Amino acid sequence: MKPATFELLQPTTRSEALSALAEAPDETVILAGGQSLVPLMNMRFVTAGRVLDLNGVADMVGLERANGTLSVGAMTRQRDLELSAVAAEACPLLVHAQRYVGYVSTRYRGTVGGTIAHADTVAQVPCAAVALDARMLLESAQGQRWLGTEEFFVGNLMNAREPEEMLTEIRFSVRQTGARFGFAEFVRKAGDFPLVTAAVSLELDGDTWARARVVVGGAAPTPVRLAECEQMLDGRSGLGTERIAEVAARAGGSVSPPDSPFVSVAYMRNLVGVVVRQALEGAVSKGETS
Amino acid sequence: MKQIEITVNGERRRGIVEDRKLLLDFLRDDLHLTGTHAGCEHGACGACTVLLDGHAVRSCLLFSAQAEGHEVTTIEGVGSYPDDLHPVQQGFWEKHGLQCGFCTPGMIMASIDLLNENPDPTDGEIRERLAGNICRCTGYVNIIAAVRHAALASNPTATR
Repeated sequence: MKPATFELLQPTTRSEALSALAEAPDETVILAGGQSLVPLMNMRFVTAGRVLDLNGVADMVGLERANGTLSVGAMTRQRDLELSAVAAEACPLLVHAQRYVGYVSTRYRGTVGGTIAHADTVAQVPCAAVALDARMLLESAQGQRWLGTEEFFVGNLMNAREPEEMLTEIRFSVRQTGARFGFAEFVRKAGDFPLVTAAVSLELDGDTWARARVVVGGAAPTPVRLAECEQMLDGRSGLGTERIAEVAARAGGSVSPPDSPFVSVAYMRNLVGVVVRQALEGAVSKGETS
Repeated sequence: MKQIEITVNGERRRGIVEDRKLLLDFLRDDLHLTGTHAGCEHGACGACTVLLDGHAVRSCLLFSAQAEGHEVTTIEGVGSYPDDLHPVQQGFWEKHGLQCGFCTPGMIMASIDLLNENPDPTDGEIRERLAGNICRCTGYVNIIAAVRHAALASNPTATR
């Protein structure tokens, strides 16, 4: 349970990090908070000749609200996001989802960029990121590009980053004042890896819902927007028990999870319906969910 | 290999370590501070919990070189038997908060982190905060009682 030998590189600026990465991109893994990567290294599921430690790179840390988005430096600690008043006002869904991730001691080290780059299909922050139309900045020594969540999340534990690129910033949409949100997950032990996650975001156009987002994690290779559920909400008014039940019932049917000996298709579809219902109920009470 | 200097329990400690050496192993093998335990070695059990710059973290998920220039507190640094036990240690004593003791250092470090931030936690808050520390022996009841005891002892105005 000890990692294989590697060289630890410890740059102190973003440009130093990008240059170091460019020297040998195919042999380098990027170390952010380490709460996902180091377990993989300790178990030798990941072995790499070079580990690029970003924990000394101060100019990748920060939270800033500007132009309708919350801009989060990739090395911002999850605990700092969780406790940030700026983030709570700008993106309450994100802050709420963040609380479910691991434990306080993992959130002191774990980073927002790290959990997004790790791209676990069931993870809470990626699910919320999809619901908030997040955009990810991938930088290399040669340039940079912005990706939406559909382009960025490619598969389970797979993202669109090229070897010479690094995720440096994420921008989450700030929803209108009075927008509703909800988040729910099904997990056997608090803080543990959930089986399924759901995030809901609803804005209002007059008295009807607009820009509805119903996102589920864990039922597909990436967190997915349930378009049919969103269409049941956009342009309609109210979110009573019957409407919630209708939307939740459609949710299970609109995913195609793989069959597994541990989680059958029927069970997963049922769970999806449950967490979508819970997330919608949370949206009714302005984000207080189970 | 790296030459590192880390402040551990208030003292500057030096070492020459492989880049891959976990902080957990530096503390135990190089500094002979064996109070911090290697449980799962992949971040799930919390037995390796230490304070890094005052916050509870898993030392099995840090490379020693990452702690260079930082302050680490281990279980050896929070108090001493018999005359100077930390209130949390005292609580574990009074409330029989341990059996085999393997999870205990990690539990104590996580509890200290909690009480530093929230001196008057509810039982629910204690449970949530310690959810990342696994105990095979006790069933947790006395651990919660130990932390509650420590909170009351340190905080005369505690309401719970």
